[in-house]
Amino acid sequence: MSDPAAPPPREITEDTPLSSLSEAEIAQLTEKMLQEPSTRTKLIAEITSLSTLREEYLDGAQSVVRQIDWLHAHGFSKFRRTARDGNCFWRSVAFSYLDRLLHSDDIPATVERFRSVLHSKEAGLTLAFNDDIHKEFSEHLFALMQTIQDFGAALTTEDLLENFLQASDHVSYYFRLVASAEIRTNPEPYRDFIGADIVEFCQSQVEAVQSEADHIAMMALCNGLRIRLKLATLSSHVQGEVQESDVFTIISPADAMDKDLPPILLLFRPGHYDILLGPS
Amino acid sequence: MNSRSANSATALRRLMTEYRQLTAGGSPDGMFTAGPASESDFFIWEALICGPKETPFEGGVFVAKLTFPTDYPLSPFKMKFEPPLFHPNIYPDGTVCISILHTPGDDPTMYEQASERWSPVQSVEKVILSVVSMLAEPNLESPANIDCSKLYRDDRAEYERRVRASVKEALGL
Repeated sequence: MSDPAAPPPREITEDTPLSSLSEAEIAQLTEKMLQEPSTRTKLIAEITSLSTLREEYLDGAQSVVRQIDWLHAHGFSKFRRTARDGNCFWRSVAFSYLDRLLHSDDIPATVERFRSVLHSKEAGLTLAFNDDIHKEFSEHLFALMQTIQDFGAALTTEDLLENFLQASDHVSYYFRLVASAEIRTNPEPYRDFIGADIVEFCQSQVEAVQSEADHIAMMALCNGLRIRLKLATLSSHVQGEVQESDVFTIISPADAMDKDLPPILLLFRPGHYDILLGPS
Repeated sequence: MNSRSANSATALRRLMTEYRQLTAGGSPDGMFTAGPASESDFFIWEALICGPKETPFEGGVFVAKLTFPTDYPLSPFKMKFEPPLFHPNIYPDGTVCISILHTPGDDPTMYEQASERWSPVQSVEKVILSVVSMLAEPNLESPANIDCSKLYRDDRAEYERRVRASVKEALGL
């Protein structure tokens, strides 16, 4: 006998209007999604044409469509979707950081250079977090860098991705620690933007797993790793003809050590980061 | 899956390190001990916690079970008092509800935004110390035991009497 007061459970399909979902149904769907192994393996998806993204916006903001067209016309025609789990920024940067090594002219020397910058961060990390807690996370990154050094160009980007996904939670978390240590040990450039207590900010906005990265965290990460980041932002507020400055924001520390490599490229839509691919 | 075994190897190593540090250093004022409940499973710990002084919990020794996920410390552990404690922030089944054991994405009440959250740089020791201060000072903004929260707010003397009675009962006095 069914309870007449409770609505019968219905089947939710792609056609079910999102606004009609009850909180219980949303919770159920989230639970299901998290348990599905396929969503775990798609933390970073395969390369897709930007035109699939364009289609999603055809009925929406036309300025976004124009910016996608601008990107396409300038050679930025492909991207990789990343999971929306609060770690998209960190995971995207971490993968791109490693993938760039594979595409450098002298792989062993470049790996060596990146490695020495990471080693130079250890004192600051130990100071910020007491003990060597950061090593639990950095060892996964160093292992991947060793693989890149050992195999060199014989390793494809897809091989690297497969290896990376086995350790991506730890590597991305290590990058959070680098950013946080950068702010904690050298707070001056960030203080005015943070306003609140520095340590409290770091704990709740950078170190907490799943907290979204804001501009401060991004700056801190680039300064810490001495890398350049180029961010394409798709905004619904751009009027008229699209200019390069409407689309791209560049974070480029004065002491960046990766000027011989193309900057890390991300595609930002409010609340989410994907990996953008540049002209090859 | 490979990533799972990589995770649990990291988790196991972290748990061993934390256990070693706790055994070597001990807790501040000897307020608690914690370690694996059996040699066969490093992912289930038992903690013995002394009731903080100058609170109705004083004199009691409370047993809590800590259950660690395979991706610890990326995800927090769960903590459950067995038998349950009568406290505003402890569910009637004994599970502890405290912000430091929740990730930012896991905040059904949204009351905890400003408080300290779980992060992989936290540890068993830091969490238990937070739980000890929670025993002394309940947080009425995120009640886990509604009846107990009401009693704490409306009739503090009766709340304290009930806690003291349960402490005595547990000690077999």
